[in-house]
Amino acid sequence: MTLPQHLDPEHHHRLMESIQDPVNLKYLRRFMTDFAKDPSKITDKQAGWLYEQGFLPEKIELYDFDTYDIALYLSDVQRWMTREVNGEYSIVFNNKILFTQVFRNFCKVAPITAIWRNGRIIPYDDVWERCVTGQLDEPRKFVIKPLGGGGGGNVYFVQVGRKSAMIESNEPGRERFTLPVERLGDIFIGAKVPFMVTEFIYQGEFTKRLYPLTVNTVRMLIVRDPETLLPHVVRTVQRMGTASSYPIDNFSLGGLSAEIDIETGVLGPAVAAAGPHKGPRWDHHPNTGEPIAGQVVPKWSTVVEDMKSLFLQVPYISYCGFDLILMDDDVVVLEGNSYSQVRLFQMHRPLLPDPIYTKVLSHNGIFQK
Amino acid sequence: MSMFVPGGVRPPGLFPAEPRVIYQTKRKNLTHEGRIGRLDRTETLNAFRDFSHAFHAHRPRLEPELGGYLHNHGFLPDKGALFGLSPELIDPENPDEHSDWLGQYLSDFQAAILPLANGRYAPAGSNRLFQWRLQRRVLPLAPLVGSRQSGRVIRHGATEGAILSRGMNTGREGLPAWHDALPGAGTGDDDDRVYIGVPCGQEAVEVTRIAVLHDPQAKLPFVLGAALLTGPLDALDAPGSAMECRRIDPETGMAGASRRFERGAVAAPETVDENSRIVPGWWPAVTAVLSGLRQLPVWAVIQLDVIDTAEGPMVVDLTDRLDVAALQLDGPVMGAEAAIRFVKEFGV
Repeated sequence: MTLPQHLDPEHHHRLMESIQDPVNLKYLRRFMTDFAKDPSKITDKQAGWLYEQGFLPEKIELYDFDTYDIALYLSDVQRWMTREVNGEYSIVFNNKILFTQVFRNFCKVAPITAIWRNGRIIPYDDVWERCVTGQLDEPRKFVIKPLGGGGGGNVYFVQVGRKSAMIESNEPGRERFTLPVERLGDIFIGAKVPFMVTEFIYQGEFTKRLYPLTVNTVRMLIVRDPETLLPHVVRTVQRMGTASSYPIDNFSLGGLSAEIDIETGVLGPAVAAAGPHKGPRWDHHPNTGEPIAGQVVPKWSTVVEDMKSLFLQVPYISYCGFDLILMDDDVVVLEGNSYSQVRLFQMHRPLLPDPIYTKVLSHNGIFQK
Repeated sequence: MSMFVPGGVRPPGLFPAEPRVIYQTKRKNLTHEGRIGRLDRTETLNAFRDFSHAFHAHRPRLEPELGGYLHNHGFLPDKGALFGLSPELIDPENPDEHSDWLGQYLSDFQAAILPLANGRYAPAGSNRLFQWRLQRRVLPLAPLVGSRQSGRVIRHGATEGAILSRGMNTGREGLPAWHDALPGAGTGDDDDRVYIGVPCGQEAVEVTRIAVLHDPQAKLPFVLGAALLTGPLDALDAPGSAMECRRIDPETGMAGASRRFERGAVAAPETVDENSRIVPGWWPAVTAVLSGLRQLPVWAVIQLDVIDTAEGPMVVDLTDRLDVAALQLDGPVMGAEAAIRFVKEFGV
């Protein structure tokens, strides 16, 4: 693919050389330390080529540099720098309580049941108390995850009955265990960070069919055009869990990503960045055999318009990767990421051919024309 | 009249008045990871960028496990084999113990930011012309026979020995013939170069390299570490140059086993002589250096090269960049109490 007019082949080099302020130098430091320990097998020549342009060695395997010029890709250094686009409002995305409190005014979010912090539970309603005293009318499911951070680590899915709770997680050694309901708080033993307990959201039939054992979320990257101030959907992917990412759909842990055509809602083939399914492009789910490529997300145009409308209602946000659960008749906004991972987008095709996206980056000093 | 005042009272205008703390440390955390993680100023972050560029330019690349371990602790690739550093030394049950042990080594990155402790004098720390002008009354410096500034050579005096070129930077590119340094022949790179007279030529000589830090408690300079290097004077720091090196015990002046190593090479040093011996002229050298630095207490970090001549010690080089390799071939130098006090004081 040839470079569009707004991209100079040397822009990555120029950005790397121009970074001088301490905030971005810290992101550069992060890149350099990550680069040094990246276990990907690359040649010395490839190492120099990637390092000078701000890409980690893993990108040799993940990105299609044979088809697309490296100048078309958002680099790892640039991705870290997107962390500053929302300025002080980033905190809305960095703390899941704040996110829920803010966004529940504009869209459907996963209701908070309780918070665990400093060794004690802070209930938001009477549900947690009814859980631990065996007073639930019927079994209920909850999701427990850390208040901050991403990457899918330490997520617990809890099914609570009257006498016991069954817990599944991606934590090594605690994949599946049960607790008497009165000892439900033992889940947090040894935890060093605060956790949030939310109600489990049951996904719609379309995403459930792709891989029914995980909640398969959509990641939608939306930016605000600095000239028109209107939202612009840059890229959207459908994530899917696999046997190796179970019980979550996390892309870094072996889940799949399939691009959704923003105009039509048609899914492309899926790829994996880690685990046994890394490498090929999957037209069908490798575990279930369910077709992926060519499937159409139901009511897609409504989803896109709803998200644009939401973005208009939070004018102080300029850059966000939203995680969505598609229900049959509605959308739940699970969380927002102020510096969204971009591998799951760029493994399909690079991001920088989008001129509005590069305009946002340029406006924030992340892209050198 | 001596400018040294007992009790640490500083002569006005000599010791930097502004704070020289490079960043606030938690004081307990002296590890390399902590140091790199806490960097928050443009100049130190840029120093890390320079270090990282040098590390990543090394070919062939190290295996990621070793490379990540060395880089993320601030060591260049050659230090793994040179010092025997490896991630395999980390006890998974007690990784802090390893961090504490490794923290006793002066890292390459730490050596790069150490000169910032020289405060307002830091920009001049590796400027030989400035050093020669400043220190000539207090240290037994080799005679200055010429200098080059703004592309012009200025002759200061004749010499009977060989002429050695000392550049502004730590890298010393060799001994140019005097007649090559004619007025106007120089480039910007050669500016602030000095030409000194030394009683030896291209042959290998013994050079005592002494690293000195300022002890914030005693408010006096102390010898951090010392090494006896054997090689041609103009090639001691050149990349790829091979030399023999003995660690000197500053307390006794005894030089340990002799090891041969090559600058920048990823290879373990080779022991060529197990026997220890007294360093000739050690006490006159260290006395001259410390008394000179006490009289002119400008530098918190300084390294001096001294040769032993018939007339006594002669300082043939001064720089604020410590020689990480030679000083630590036989073990770390930053474990001493005074060194820890220095790190806590200056945050490096």
